[in-house]
Amino acid sequence: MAIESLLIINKSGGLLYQRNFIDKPPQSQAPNQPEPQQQLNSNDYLILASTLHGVFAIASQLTPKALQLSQNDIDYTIPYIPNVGMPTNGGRTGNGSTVGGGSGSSGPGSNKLGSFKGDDFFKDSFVSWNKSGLRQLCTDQFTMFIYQTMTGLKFVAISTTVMPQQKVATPSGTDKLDRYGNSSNLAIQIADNFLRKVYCLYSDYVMKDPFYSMEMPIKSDLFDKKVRAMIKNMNE
Amino acid sequence: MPQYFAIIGTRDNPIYEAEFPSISGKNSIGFPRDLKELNPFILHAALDIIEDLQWQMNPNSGGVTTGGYFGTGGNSNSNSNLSVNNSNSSGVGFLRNRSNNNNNMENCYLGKVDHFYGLSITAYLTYGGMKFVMIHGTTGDLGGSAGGNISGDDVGGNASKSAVQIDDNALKLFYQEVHELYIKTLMNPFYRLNDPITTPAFDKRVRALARKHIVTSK
Amino acid sequence: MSRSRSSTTTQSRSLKVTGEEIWKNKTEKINTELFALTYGALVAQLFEDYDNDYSLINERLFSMGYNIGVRLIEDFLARTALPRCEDMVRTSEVISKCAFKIFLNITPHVTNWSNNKDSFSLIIEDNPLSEFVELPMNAKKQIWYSNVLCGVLKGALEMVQLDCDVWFVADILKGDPQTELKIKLNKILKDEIPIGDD
Repeated sequence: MAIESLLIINKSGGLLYQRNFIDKPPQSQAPNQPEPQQQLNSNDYLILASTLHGVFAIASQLTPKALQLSQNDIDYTIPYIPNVGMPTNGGRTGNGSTVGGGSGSSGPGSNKLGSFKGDDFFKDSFVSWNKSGLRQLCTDQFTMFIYQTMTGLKFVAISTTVMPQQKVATPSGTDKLDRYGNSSNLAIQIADNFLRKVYCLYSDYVMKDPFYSMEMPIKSDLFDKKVRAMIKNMNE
Repeated sequence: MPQYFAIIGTRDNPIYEAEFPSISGKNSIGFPRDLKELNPFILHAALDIIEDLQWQMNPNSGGVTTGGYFGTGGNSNSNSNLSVNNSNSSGVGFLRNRSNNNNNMENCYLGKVDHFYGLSITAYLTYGGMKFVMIHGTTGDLGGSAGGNISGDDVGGNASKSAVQIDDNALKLFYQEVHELYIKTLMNPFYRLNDPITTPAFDKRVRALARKHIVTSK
Repeated sequence: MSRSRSSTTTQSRSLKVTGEEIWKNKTEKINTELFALTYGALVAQLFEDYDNDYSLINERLFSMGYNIGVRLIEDFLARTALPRCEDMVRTSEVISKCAFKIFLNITPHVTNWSNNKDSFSLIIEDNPLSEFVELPMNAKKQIWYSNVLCGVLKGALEMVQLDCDVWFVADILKGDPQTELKIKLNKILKDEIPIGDD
């Protein structure tokens, strides 16, 4: 999974952080490409963030009645997927997720995760706090994943991987059986693992900076560096 | 033998003082009344000697094997330890030997530093320069000439003719435990350095320690 | 195939185990004495700065704690990813078994529940903040030495949409038999609950 950009939106819909990690050449276009790819400026991103915030809320109201009624059966557990966003040595791969090769950091002992000890931020499965809001937006150009925390903070990751087209479910099969097996679900789980790690970085490098004012845009260099390193590991 | 104990701060200001009377039979015998007033003077007079020892450039003994020493020039204890001390070329005074010891509090005890007409004065220096000083009195009359030897005591406290016998080991333990009590007082954020210590808890504990370690006989 | 929500998640493991495991293996630690001395220096300096105005000092400690709490809750949630608590009973367990354990390595007791289960007391034994402290005589009656803890709890709970009042009831430093602080839920801030979190 290659992460193209990351946004952090606060609980009132304001944009706190936005970075693009894959450079798109600004105006180069194939002759028959329909539209030029233009970079969004910072104002556009602000509007994008607040739009997303609104869409997120609306989406929670859009769940079909039938699904709403059966909601008690849904398991919101996200399993722990190892090596998401973590540097690895050599060519080990995790559960089929993409894994960063040795990112140039030295041997196993020096993995510094801020105030987290050990080789990864967390190692257990966890329950998603985002039960009826928007979690994944699939288009033919990108996929967007949203992770919301209990305090209302939203982490949005835009990935260049495109989800394969969903086959139409046969009327006889129950949806729930397919739910756990298909690749879209796995993608959401990987994204949730990744975004929870970004949340851990946020709680360390942004929250513990005494000069950071709450709900304001994040200007922390350390946070930026750590996020870039993690994205680099994700993108290989 | 009654004792008079005081803690003197870095500015020569008194921090704490207490008199430990000796218990003989049913009576607790303190210092004779006329002598009592002299105690602070005697103690403060010893401070000069203690400071001298504190800032000496060539300490003449390691303070571990011998109970105490004093002397500003060369003296009787110098020969065996001189070579050891010459190898440590940095540091000042008694602090120089500190790092070599397992029990770091060993060098703080200075032993008998002075005497006054038969009273012995022992001292202990903390790392922050606080001086714990104690006057050891006799119950009998003071007799004996003051012209006794100005020499250090050996282990076991063989006193010179006119001075009081001092049990170094017990005293060392006493001083070390008072030192620990003092450190705990320092850890209190509301206690400022060189403030007098007035809490009754500290007083109680010091007296208990005195009863425990300073076995007053006769 | 339906699975019950709690079967494989951390919710099913006891909170105590979670708290202990995170404390032992997952957090960087700091020397207790250094921590106690730093906090003591802070309070002693406040005494000097505010010229022994004890109610103002209490207030300042509380607001410092509040600022810590609104940030600390994110660290706690990132570390534990515990789901939302259904009621104050569960909240009290999470606070005493997980939160205090992870950050201070103590486990206060939860007692003195009110009738409608919206307020409780935390009894703290061995408060690490006040390890060597003796309050000066004139301050003894009025200062709550560890008032920063009240602020932390209030700030943290407010960020998860629980409006609570937190205050000290007794303190060993004042001569009381135990250190006790009370938490009372005023209301759940329903309109601030993030959308999608049912």
